[in-house]
Amino acid sequence: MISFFRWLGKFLKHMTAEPTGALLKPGDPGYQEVHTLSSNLDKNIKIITEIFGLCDDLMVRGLKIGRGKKQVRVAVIYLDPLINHTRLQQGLMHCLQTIDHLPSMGVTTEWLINNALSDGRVIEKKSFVEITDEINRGAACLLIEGLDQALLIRLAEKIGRAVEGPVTENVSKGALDAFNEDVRTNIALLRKRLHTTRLAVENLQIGELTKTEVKLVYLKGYVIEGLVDEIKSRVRRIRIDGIVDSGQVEELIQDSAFSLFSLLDSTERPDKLAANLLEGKAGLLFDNTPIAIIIPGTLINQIQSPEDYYQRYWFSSWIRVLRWLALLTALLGPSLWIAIITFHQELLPTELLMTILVTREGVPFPGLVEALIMELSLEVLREAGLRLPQTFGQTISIVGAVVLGQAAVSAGLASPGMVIVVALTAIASFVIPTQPLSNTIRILRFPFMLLAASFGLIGIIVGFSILTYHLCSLRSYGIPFLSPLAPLSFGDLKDTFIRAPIWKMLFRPRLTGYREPQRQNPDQRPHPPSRKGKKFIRRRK
Amino acid sequence: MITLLRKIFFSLLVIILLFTSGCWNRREMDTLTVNSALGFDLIETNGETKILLSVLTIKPSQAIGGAGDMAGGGAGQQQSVTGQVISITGDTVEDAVRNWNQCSSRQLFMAHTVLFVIGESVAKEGIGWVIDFGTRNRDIPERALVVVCEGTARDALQAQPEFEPLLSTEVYNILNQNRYFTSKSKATDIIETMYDLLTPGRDVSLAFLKTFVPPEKGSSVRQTPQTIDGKDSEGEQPDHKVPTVAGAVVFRGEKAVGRLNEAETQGMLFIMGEAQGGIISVAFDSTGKNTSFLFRDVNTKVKTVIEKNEITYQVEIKGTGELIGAAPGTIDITNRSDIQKMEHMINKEVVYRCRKAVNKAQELGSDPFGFGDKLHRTHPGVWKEIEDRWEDIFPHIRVSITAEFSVEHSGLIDKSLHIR
Amino acid sequence: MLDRGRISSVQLFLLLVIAEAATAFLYAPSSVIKMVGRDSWLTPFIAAISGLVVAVVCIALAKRFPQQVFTEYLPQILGKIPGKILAGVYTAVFIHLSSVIMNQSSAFIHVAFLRETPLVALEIIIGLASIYGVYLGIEVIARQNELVWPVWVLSIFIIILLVAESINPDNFRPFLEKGIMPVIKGSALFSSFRGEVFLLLMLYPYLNKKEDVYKSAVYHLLTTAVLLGIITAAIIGVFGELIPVYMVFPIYNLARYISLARFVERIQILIVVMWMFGVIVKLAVFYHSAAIAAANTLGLKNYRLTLLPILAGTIIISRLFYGDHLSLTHFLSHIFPYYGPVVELVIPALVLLIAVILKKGGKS
Repeated sequence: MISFFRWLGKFLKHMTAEPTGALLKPGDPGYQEVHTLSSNLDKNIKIITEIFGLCDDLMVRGLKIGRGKKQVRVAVIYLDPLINHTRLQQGLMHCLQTIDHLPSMGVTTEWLINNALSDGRVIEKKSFVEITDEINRGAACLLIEGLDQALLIRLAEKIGRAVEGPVTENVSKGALDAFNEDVRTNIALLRKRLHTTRLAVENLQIGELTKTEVKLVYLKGYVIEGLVDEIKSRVRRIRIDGIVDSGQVEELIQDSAFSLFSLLDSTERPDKLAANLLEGKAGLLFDNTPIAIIIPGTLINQIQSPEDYYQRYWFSSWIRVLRWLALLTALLGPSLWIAIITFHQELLPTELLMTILVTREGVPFPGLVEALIMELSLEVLREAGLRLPQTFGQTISIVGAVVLGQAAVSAGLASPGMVIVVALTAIASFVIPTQPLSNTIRILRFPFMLLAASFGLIGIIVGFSILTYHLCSLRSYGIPFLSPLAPLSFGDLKDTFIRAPIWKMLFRPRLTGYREPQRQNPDQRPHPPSRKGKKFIRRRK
Repeated sequence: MITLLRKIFFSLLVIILLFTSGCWNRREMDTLTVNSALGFDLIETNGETKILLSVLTIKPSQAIGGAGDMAGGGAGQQQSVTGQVISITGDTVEDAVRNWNQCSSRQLFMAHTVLFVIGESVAKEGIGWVIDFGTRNRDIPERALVVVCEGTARDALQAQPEFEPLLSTEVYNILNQNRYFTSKSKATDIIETMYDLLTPGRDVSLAFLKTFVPPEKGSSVRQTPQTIDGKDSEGEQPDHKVPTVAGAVVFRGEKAVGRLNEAETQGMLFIMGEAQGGIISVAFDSTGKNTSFLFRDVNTKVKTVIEKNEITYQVEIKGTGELIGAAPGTIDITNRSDIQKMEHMINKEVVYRCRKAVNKAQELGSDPFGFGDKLHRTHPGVWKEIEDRWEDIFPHIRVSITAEFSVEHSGLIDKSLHIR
Repeated sequence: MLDRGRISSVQLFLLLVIAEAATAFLYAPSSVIKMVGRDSWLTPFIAAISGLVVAVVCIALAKRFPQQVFTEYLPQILGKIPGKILAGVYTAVFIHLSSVIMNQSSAFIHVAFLRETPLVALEIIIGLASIYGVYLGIEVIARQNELVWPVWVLSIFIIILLVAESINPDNFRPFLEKGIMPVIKGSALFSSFRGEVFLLLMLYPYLNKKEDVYKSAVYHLLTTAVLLGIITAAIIGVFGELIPVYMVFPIYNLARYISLARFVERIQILIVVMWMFGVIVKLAVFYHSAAIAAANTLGLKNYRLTLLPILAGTIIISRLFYGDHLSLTHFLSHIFPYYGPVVELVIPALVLLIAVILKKGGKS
């Protein structure tokens, strides 16, 4: 017993202790005491190869440049798999080998940059840390005899796929390019949409070992005041060995850590990111992750699709209303059904009640158990469909949905009504355009089912109250998560349950776009040519 | 960390609470018997008067197709619904409801009740407790209709419906449509009955439900009765009764005092402004009634005039409608004088029917029209004086009735046929 | 000020309406119709005047201490010991009112639907939902209310639209049969409900634009008067003045009487569920005041510590004193009309008088 408590104490101590060993400090393996280059070429090469240690893919190539007596020894060091060999050959090797005259004053780095090297992306570095870092990122390091500076030529080969279509955020109308794993490509995709000097791209870095490149993007003068500093401070606070996906960072920088909801929006669509930047938000792009994070996030943003703005507004408004209904169905479908068939049978029309009475006759389980069985098997099916190879995915979903449902009814495990409700719920949850919200709803469905089974609709409304209380209390980087619904800003409602025509959306959202409230000219509504436009005078305070 | 533990502990507590609490009020569907109508009778057993509650329960019956049907998708199941009447006795009606569970494993679920059938015995003794039961019970919907039946409610509920699976829905639909089709019976729900019972100067009138043996044999809609106890019932089919509504029963206080026939009921509905459609047949150019007028959009105004201590009610009935049938060689709708003659006859007929209703009501001493209430609303001072004596005054009040109907259309042909 | 939240004047207005009407419309019409009869629908309007008096007194008092709640500045006005005692009294009043509200709502559900479910269980889940809101602060309650409001008002309009065809205008005649006096007497009963505007004492400091407080209060009084008036009128229009006398929850019977083309019927539970949404907010507002008052009295830095004891306290009070329905209705129709004005008007007015005489607090 005592030992158990001792173990528990240790365990708790371990759980609550400050993280150690997350940092790499001087003295750790791979770290050299010598900080900067010396003028001795051989010594420099030796130190670099020592730092890299057991890296067999490190190439060290010695060369002599110039002609005759004045020849100078140089060395090119790079990591073989990262380098684009054509560019290495043309931009570096060839240039070095064709140098005829060396300057009488001796070779300097400026001279090399100015006269010898044709490749544009050259920088000068002195410290080993920086040099090894650049080599790790795919630069070729040029060391010159007698100089205590190294030239680093960035010749990294672009590794990864080309720009492809979005995987999770499909639209039927609209741009078909999506972010991919290369952050430079992603920035390019964004810059292609925002041709303005206002677009700021700031470098951040996360991870002591992975040193993942993170780009903070926003529109200068439009972004919420203080947001950029807050993001930077939160990102810099992260001390971790490494991150491999933006999802990990999301958990580290979002506000309410225990909330079921994802308080930051994520997208793989450059057009969505661009549109959000235009509303005064900021974005984070990650190397090696095709998903960008939009800060701050709101619930409304998560149940909207970029397509809403590309379709006609009547249709988009209709779709949005449908989507809200689907959201409620996905959240409350099974619980409402349980509540009705076990507590509030008077709500059903008499004929339907009779039908249900007959079909439920053989089912041995109470409504809750029946619903749990069906919901759980559906969740399993969904997960299975996701993990299976794509060719099987289709099969399993059909087999699962049709055969299992039918079989469950025939076997008396579930009533047909329940099968319909569960299927409807599943389909409704696919209507929600963003994955995190959809997943949250999938989880929340279960507590609601328990509440419905204990207290009927009263239980559901109590649960719903708690849920909305929670949602009202959430803030994402200072912006209420439920805005513009609560706190209500009436002017912004035209872009929530419905989508007003573009020419009606004169102002940016009040909470995020207040620095430049006006979005467009007020007289944009198409008119017959005879009418004159009004002047550009309306401004909101 | 501690806060996290606390939160987890707290949510666990809540979840445990939910689970352990579970389901006090849960009524699983398969523990219920749904009833559609309730019948109330008084019976004598061992010298004691007891309440006989007849419950028309809905029995779902599942006709499962053959094995071949199941193979073909399993969706070939047909459901039909039949009614079954079960009677129980008790000292009070609630007692009877609870006694149900003495003989049934299933709870009685009354939220789908659409009809209250009051037997003659109860109607004569007083319907107060029925209305109390109907409004106090939290399951019974207040929109359920109340009817009085001939004989006992138990027998009336056993009548075979012709077109709906259940007697209750059949009567419910008949009564609800009546107002627009014939205006010969009155649909009164529980709240309206209560209103009439409570309001001074107003009496209850309820539809009268009758059952009879139809002369037509083997109605196709009717299902053949199932064989009971292995006895083959072929050849000796018992006579089924079918329901019909016929006029109204009027009450004085909570006790029934008499009946109005169909024409009188229609007159009553005219005065109450509730007749919204029906046929007035008149004798145009002949001694027998041969011309039919369909009235619609009836608007009734009741005015109270007080002159020299005498109360006179002026009932003005206005309405429109169309000629929908005429005997050959009688009416010519293109002729204005014919129309006027027609309208005159219609008005006379309407006034006649109303007059009959008023006379009958005065004779019975029951005021289903709410004349007293009307006086209260318009002349509160006068009402205050005579409130106590209203029952004596009502049989002697004067009611003047005028009707003004206009013929607007005549169907697809105008003149009546001239036969060679 | 223990809660650092900020609410706007619109939010304050909506909060006050919910805090008053969410249960008043369930219980008040029944007892008012019993007293006044046919003309009861006038009483909320007349009662609004008394509400206005309460509002004026409370605002005048609150403006002297714009950054503090009532129980916080009481010791400054009355001196330490008497102030603390009065703050303690108000803590008790808020806890008591919370338990009455809790009892009203859960007893209603208990009588109307969940007869076999123990009242305590209902009280616990409703109470938990409410104190969760209080735990999150006044700002969250106000925002929640903005979501609740449309649903809640919609429920009332659904009822009135769907019973509209059963409304009989004759039921309103004769108008003022017994003169205006019964109406005025009856409105005294309503005034104790209307006086719940005294919550301003506990909510004023959170208002972000203090000058709009009058606007909130007046709009609140008007809106509530109109809502309660319409509800009472609908009840009388459909049932007349005699049937509601027998009804415990006339508005609920009205919801049961809903009928749309004989197809949409028996949907009362949906309506009730929409009300519950409002009741949970109302309860949260009272709990919040109770918690802040308790924390001030005890000198706590964190009002959240008091939440669970208050929840337990309200449930115990509601079980001990209002175990049966009769004692609740007795309280509402016989004690509350006297008890209400004392805590809502008389004591704040006296405190204001003392503050003016002793020149405590800033001038408004």
